[in-house]
Amino acid sequence: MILEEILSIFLGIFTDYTLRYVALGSAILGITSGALGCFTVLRKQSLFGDAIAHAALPGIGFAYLFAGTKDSLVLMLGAAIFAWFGGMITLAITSTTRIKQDAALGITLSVFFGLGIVLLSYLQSIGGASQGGLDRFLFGQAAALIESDVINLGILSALCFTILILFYKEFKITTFDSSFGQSLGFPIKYLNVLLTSVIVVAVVIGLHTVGVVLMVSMLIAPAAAARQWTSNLKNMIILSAIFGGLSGIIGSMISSTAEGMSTGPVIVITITAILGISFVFSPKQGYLFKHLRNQRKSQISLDNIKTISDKEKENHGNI
Amino acid sequence: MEISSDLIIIGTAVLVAANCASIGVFLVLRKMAMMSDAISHSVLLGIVIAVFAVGGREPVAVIVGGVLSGILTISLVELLYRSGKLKQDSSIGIIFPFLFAIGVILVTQAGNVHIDVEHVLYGSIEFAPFDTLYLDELNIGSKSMWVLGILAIANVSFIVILYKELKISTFDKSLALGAGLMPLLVHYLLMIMVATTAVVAFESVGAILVIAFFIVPASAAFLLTDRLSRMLVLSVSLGIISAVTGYLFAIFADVSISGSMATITGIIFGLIWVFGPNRGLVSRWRRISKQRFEVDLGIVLTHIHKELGSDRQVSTSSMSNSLGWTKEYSKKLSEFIQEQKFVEKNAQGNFALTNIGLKKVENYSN
Amino acid sequence: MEQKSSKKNSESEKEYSVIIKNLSVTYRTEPALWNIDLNFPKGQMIAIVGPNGAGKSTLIKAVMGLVPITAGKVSIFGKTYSKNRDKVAYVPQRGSVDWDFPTDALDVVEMGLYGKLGWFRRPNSKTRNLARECLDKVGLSNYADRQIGQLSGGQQQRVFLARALAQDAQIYLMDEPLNGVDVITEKTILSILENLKKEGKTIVMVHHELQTVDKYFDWVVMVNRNLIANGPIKEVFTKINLDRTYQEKQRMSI
Repeated sequence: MILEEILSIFLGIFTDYTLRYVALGSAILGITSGALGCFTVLRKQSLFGDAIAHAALPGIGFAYLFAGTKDSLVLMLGAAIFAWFGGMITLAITSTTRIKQDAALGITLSVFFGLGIVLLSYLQSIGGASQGGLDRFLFGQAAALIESDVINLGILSALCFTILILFYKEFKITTFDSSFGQSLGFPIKYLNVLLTSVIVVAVVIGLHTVGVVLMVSMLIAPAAAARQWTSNLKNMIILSAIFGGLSGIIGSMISSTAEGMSTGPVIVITITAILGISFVFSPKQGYLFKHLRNQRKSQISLDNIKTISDKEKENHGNI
Repeated sequence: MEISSDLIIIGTAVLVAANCASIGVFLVLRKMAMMSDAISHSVLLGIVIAVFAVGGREPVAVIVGGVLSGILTISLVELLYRSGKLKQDSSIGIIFPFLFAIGVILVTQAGNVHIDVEHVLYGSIEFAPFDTLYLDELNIGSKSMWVLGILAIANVSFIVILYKELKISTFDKSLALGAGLMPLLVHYLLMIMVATTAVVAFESVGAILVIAFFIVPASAAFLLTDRLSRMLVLSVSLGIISAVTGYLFAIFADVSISGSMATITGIIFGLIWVFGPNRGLVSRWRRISKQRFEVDLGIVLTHIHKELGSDRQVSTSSMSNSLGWTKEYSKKLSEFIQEQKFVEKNAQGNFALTNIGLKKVENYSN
Repeated sequence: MEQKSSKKNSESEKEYSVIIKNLSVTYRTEPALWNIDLNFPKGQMIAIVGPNGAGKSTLIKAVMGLVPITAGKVSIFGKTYSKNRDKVAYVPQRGSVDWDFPTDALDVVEMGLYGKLGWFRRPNSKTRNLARECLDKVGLSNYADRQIGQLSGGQQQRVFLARALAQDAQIYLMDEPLNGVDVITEKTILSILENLKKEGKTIVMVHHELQTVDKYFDWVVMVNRNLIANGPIKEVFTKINLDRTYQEKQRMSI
């Protein structure tokens, strides 16, 4: 009985007009933020995505104010510009003062967002934007995605992946050993800017689907989950993209079953569940297999390669 | 006595600012600023559950629910972080969206209990004057001001009583750990105060703007002083100024009150960041430019001294070649050292150190 | 400070791989290196020694332009670093990298070839094989697919060396490579470096252990913000110079 239901929902992705686009848009988000999230996490900038997602709000307001249109591409451009700007401010604060990154992120996040709220209230009073605009920003509008939205998102995502593929080894060396990369002649500063810009695009996609509050989870959770299964960067990126995409599809499927259930939160719960499963069941790092291995270990002697203590080993896979 | 609505709103805002800005000082110093981000979002879940449990928006239940979910958030983050699988900021970025997501789903699925999205995220301080408490039919004033006032007393007591412990455990964790259980206790108590303050302030200015009051005035104060006591006073003052100015601006421009207040905290921060004495960008730039020049001066004089010892000549033109500087800059330095009588030109037009110049070089050498 | 050679420029360039003139590096107001004139002779094992914070790491970073130079010039085989980048290989300190990064030993070595690949070209079987050869040279062929965090300190150091070997450079600049490594690793690294020296390459190493300087090296650079001494071990590595190098750093009043 249940299996039939699941099957019918799954088929709904292909047949049901709205569900198709919701699932597709969510999958695009999941894949993109999954892949790029690997870099934010490895660069120890997990919450950076949260800050720049919040910083995007005034951008949407200004875009509407100056362009006077609700065209989603224009609004996304505004969002991207301000998100990028927010990122730059954060970096400027940490590099020119003794304020640490966590506070700098908090400053950017709350002040930009406050400015956005002011703008939105102004627009409301002159009869432009509706309250719905803010709702969509906060919670995303995965459930309201239409064909043109999905096409736009697809194009943005393709752009992200093109850059990722073109500059893969450069991003890799920038993240792993930037001074060595610099000694080889790679312009590390510009590569960092490029990488940040691509992440901004991923964030803008995320804003459109799951909204500002939940965006940050989509940058971290798929990458963290993938890391549990592999120690190879390329595989980690691919797996993270798969996890992200899956959570997008499953999330849309589940939320379509109940009336009025927001898609964004369900996607986030799905990816967090995938993360939890990875923690427990992954062969290399998971708790289950570790437990089984520990029981066997007392019978096997350590080989002399392991000069690192076992305790240190447990800390690997730290993201 | 009729108290004007404006005053009540301002009063509420001032209390929110003071409460958050004081506790926020410790968040900033302990590098836990983003914890306020996490708690502010996840309180939604606690509030939702509390509202379900008592069937309405009873303030006590809401506060308890919020605080409990705040504690839940902190505990889960610590759990995740100490398992060694995730760093702290990653843990935060996973837990709070998860809890927030659950909260949102419960809200949308609940149906009969209505929780406003807008209220959650940027509060409704405009309604403070109308949300009044009655004691035997006597209007004793705005509910939120009472609650905030009580919270302020709690916060002040917390800070005053535990001042020494807070100070030690913030600045020297290793020293504090040797002193026993206190640091851990202080840590959890602080987190509880953060959660409580967040929940209460939440009602007035909403989740995201609570973060502004926690972090921005404290950060600005951090740029102005090294002393904890001064930082606390400055942070609260800046917070209050932001609150009042923000309110006045919002009334004038007819825009969101809480948004304005948050923006003003940012503007004040920006001003201090750029123009602040000592640490401000402008004063640093001036200082660094001056220091740069001093260093280059030392380099030039040492260079001349060294070259003369090897029978090589230094002139303005050879300077830029040897030291890798632009011709304009070399010229500027040449003129300066001649003006200051550190050097004089010999017969061939090259530089020789004067006695004054020689003395200055001796300062620099090994 | 005496210049040992009063030879003409062109001859000097034949003998020296790196020529440093009037080099000063300052962080804010604190001079890290002050007015250094220094040449690295070709085909020698050169040690850089000095107390903590003396500017040793800064010196090799300045040669590569990894830190901004306040004054002075560096030339590598007669040209600027950016023109002769491919002639220099850099081995940074082990602590400069996050060893939890999801990559294996072979992958790290292959990164040494990214410079030669240039923009947009991908690592291929040729680079893989080259990397494998280098890994083999340092005795780690069995560890090619080991995640780097699972390697011992000495093995990590050898991976860094293999990466530098992949660059096939003329000058090797190394920052404390023998610090905290096991005996096998130290022997392996030194024998590889000896072979490189025989091929006429220049090895420059920031070295932390004074006892082994005259055993392993031909030439020594003694620095404590200023250049204290620079020359062949037998002539320059004396007690007087050591005392001058390791005395309390003078406060520079700027």
